[in-house]
Amino acid sequence: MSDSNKFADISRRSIDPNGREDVEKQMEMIYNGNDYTPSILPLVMADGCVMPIRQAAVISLKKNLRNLVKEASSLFANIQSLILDECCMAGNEPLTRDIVLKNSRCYRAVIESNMNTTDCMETKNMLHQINILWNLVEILYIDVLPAGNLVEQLLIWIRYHYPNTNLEADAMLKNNEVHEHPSYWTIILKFVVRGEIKMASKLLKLHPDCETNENLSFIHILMEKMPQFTRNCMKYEFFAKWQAWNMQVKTHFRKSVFTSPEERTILGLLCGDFGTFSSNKHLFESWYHLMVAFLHFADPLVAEIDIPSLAFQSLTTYLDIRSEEQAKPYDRAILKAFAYDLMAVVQESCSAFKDGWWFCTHFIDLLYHGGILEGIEEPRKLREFFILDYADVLMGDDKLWSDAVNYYASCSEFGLESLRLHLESKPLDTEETRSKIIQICEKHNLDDVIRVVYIVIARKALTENNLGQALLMAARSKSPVLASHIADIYLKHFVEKKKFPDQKALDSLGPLMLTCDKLTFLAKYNEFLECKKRGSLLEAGVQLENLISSKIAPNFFIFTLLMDAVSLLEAEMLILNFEQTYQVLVALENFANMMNEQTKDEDVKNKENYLRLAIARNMARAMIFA
Amino acid sequence: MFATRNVEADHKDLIHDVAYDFYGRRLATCSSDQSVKVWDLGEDGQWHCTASWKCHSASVWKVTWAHPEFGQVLATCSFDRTAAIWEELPADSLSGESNQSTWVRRAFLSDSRTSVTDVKFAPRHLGLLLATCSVDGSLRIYEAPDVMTLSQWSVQHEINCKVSLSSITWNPSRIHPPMIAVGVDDASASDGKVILFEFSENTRQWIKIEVISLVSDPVHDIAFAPNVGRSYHLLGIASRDVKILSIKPCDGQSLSLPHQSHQGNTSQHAPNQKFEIKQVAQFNEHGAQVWRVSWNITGTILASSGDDGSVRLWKANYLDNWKCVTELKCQNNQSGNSSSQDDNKSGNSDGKSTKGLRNFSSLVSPGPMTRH
Repeated sequence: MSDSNKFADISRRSIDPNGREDVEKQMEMIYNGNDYTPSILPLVMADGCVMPIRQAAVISLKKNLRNLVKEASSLFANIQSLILDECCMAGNEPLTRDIVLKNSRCYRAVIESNMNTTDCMETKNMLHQINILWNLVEILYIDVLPAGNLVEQLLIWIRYHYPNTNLEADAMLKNNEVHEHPSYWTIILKFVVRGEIKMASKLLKLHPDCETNENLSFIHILMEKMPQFTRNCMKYEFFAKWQAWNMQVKTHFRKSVFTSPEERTILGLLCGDFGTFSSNKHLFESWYHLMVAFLHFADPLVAEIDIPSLAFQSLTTYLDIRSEEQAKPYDRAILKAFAYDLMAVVQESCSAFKDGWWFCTHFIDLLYHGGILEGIEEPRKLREFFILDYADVLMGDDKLWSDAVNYYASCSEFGLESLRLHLESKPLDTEETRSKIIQICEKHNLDDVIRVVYIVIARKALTENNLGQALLMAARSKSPVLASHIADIYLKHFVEKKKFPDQKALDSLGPLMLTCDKLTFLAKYNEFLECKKRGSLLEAGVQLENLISSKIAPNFFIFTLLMDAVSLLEAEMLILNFEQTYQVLVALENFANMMNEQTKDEDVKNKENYLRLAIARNMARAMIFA
Repeated sequence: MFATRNVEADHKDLIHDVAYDFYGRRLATCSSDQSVKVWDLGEDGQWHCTASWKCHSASVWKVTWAHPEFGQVLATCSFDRTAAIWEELPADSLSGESNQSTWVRRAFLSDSRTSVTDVKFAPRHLGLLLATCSVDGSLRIYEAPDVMTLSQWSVQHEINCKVSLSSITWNPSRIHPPMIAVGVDDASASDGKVILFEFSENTRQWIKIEVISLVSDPVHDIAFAPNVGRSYHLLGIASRDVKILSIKPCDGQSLSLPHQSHQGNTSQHAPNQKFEIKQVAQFNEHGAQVWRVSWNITGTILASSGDDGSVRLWKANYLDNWKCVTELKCQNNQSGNSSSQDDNKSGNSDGKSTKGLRNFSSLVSPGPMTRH
């Protein structure tokens, strides 16, 4: 069984209460191993994973990536709203580089905070790599400075993502006799290749021989004198200085008078001797570190056009491979970034990171809004393509699906329809899901989905014989057919049992009673019963007359309605006036005509006679009072 | 990466169709043993058979769910020349604590004089409509005027295509006039094997608008993709190979058609042609007859199953170049009968050719999809 299958199996069993403890132990084991995230991610991200397995997997993923998704989602939404604001002001202008850069850094801050909080090594590594790549493409595509600054930017990039040397140095400096520390020279060399020449020179100064040994003191002086390019340097002035310095170092290096191998290495690095770089791989964190360090000493003002070939050389040398195919997708992504081939970066990073396309989606969106995707075929389609797929991944997750909404909303072409289709097919299991769906639909004017949601809930309530819920939901769905059907059930129930199945639901209908005629009738009849119960007989009389004369009473209910008239007719005071009484009589005649004499049973006949008598008496009374 | 799970269906003969309900929580299977079984996904993640009944007097070819807004309703069609409508009874009418549910026949549609090969409910925005097709070439559209009782079904339209029909699909688009495509599996017929019909509001008739000659091999299954706002419709076809056609209405301002991979030629231009039909993809990877095609929720992934015993998922990149993104080989060797659960949860299905299989396996969790 492959790891993923094994994990799928464990995840599934973890839902089963019986085997759970056992399973959790197994999970812990996998969790501590290195292959946790690669096995869990395909499981969580795969579209077709059977729901409960995915659920279980997502629960364990919670601590690892959920925050990343949530935080990125709000950042993403924020960028979309910026676009709207900007567009209103200045037409379809892209965002300025400053804003893009700021947001790019915000994304990286999100990556970093998640990197620091996660306790899963695999996730940490992935986020670290994403952060490095993101930072690199940020330097190459967004934070583009005037020629000459690139190497300095790249050095900062390396130093930022690999801060360990400083920690090592701090630890070492706690000792006396620093120069005898086993990693004294290594740390000096590391500072050199990180472009922190001042630090290296300070450390070197601590060597007791620094003053006395001619060689050492000369190296120290060279280090101190190394020209540094800063943002307000004149390019040519710097280059002249640097060239002079470089010549000096080279001359000294060629003399080959060294008192120790370390001196040779330092000088080799300082003068940009590629052989020295490639034979000291242990000083570098990666092939791109080697490349940046080499550029720093060999060609600090390198032209962008020369970088790709050097990147390739560094990659093959450092990893000891012949072609880029042998490198990992992550390394290839970095390589392609140096080659300014953005599509290839996207492609490689899709296979490098098991992040559900988190990186590509957010990065492409950002570049798109900055107008930086110009060189690519159909940038708008590219952006939507990634966003929709990413949103689909979120939509498949039981907890994260509502975060997908912003992403769909940002895709003008297919976003809203995709969202509609997804919302429609969400199972309406819990009250929470229902209200979330309805809330989202209201925000995005998906009235049609709301209607269907209510109909489906009403249908389900109906099969569960939960008539109150069915009544309310049918009314909210504004579906006349369903509402009539349920109103009929209510009225039939009343004819049989002289009460409604769920009085509370009926009382809370409010204006929803206008959904269809039957429902209006039901609600009005309910009001009539209320009045009668309260003793407001006059009011009840008016309502009864309305109910009778409106002619919307279902046939099976007319007799019940007529019988309700009896108590009003027989009341001590005169309730129904002549006109109203006449209405009752007309309704009774119609009813009698409709009923075949034979089908009437004794009970109905008796009641009919009783009603006729009451009508006659009340009519007489009404005439006198009139 | 994917995992297969077998569900011991215990049908006494070949299973012909597997259909997921709208939410992917229920399954219906039908078989030559003349019965239909309904499966519910339990909280334990397993499929439990909650109903099984004999519903026809011959092989049941297809089973399909109505939209849940019409309740829990199934339609079946059979070699016995009929189609039938089934409804699940409310739980409270059951006796005892058994978890079995009862399905009752609400209607029996016996208009066909030959075997009924497919039955499909219309997209819900059209109301409660049902289309059936049969071996003698009849396409019938039924309507239930009373959606609450389901007992009255009247034939609204009847069209004779004069060739043996195998499959029907409704175009789910809500913004275009109703459209139906039928697949022809008549090897002797020389015309195109897909016929398109559109409903005309003016004449209140279904009008044959195109016989698509791009498809010349017998068609086993056909499916319109959900339309998320594209200016064209996508039609997946299971035949000797997998084909995807784009059907673009020409009237109105023509929106710029996204870059298609022009692997096929544009079909012949009839006078007054309302549609521009192109083949956007054709795949021979199955290397055998393809039996079923099925789309995911948003119409971005097509799943197909074939006689080679595998299910393949097809996806387009952002420039609309379609490619195979995953191949799901059934791990269980005895079973060529596999159904894939793609994320639309709608049924995809089984190689008909494998004889006498009584279980179906559900393929889950297609692996990380690579792009480009």
